[in-house]
Amino acid sequence: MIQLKTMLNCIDNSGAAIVECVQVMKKRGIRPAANIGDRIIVVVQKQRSFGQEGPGGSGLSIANKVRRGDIRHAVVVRAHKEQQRKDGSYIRFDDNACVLINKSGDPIGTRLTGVVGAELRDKKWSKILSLAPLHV
Amino acid sequence: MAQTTLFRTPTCCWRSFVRSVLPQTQHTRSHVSVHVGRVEKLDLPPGVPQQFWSQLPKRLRPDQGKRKIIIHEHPPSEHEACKEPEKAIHAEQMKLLDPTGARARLFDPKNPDGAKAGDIIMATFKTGEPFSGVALSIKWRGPHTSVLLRNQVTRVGTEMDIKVFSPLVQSMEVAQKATKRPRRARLFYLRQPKHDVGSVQKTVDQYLRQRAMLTGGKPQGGRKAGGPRGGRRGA
Repeated sequence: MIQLKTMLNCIDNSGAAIVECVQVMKKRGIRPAANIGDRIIVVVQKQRSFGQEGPGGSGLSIANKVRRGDIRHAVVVRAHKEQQRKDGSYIRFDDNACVLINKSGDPIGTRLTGVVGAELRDKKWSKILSLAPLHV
Repeated sequence: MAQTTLFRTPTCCWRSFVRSVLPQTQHTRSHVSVHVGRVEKLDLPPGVPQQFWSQLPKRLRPDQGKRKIIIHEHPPSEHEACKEPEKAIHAEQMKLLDPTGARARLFDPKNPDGAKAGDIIMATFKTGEPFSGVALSIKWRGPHTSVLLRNQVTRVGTEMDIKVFSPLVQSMEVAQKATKRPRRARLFYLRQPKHDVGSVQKTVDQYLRQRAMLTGGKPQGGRKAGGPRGGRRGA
């Protein structure tokens, strides 16, 4: 249940660490809530430190692609609220996490850390799924 | 008359004077209702000539017999046919979902060797993605029996509530029994960081290796990505 003001972890290498949800897209209601695979608009609240990219990113060592205060689109990849699957099972994670994307739907980062929900497959986020190390 | 009362009462007590005068005017009755009482029913005089029968209501005519009351038979009772339909349907479904009865035995609460909360359980699906974790709780609901598994995947706590008898579940195995009998039926306290057991991947891998040695085959059903990639991250 990600809604206005929810703080999420950003699990890609775009440079954002913690983002805040400001809008849930394509949902109606008084307090629309996003779940795994839903698109949201976020504000970057905390950046990752620059040094972290150094050894992993080799010579490229790009500066952060996003800065604090940027407004970006994102896809929810993990949610703390349990979600029912079509086979009756439920899935829930310990945190809320998202991946930043541009307006056309491609991920801004090039690597993901951490597991993502398999609901992304149903919602056609195959580019994010291919970047993810794991999905359950 | 008013003159005389005025004369008799002391002039200072206006209130008592008004009280003594006013009721006389108020007590005049404007409406009178007379209680009549119940109207007595008159019996039909005996021997009404046949020419007047047509004027009587049907039920009072002498040639009218007693009213026939139709009593219908009870439909056959469904309750008698099947006293506990839910149980019957559950048994029928279990026969379909679990023909060998092995999984029902594993999740039988009376079975001392069965799966209990606190055990590490590995579930493999028909799609080939296994999920393993500590069983936080088992909901015994006949064919809807489900088990809540918790694990840490890439250092993120993940919980999955799996329907045990789902046709999509290929196998359910107990990788490790709880060392000590837990004193709770549902171990939701394992979500707290203080009590969290962390990743169970190592235990499951060890179990798979042992099973492979016993059966003489290759270890199967382990999480592919959880092994090498998870290990690199130190999960």
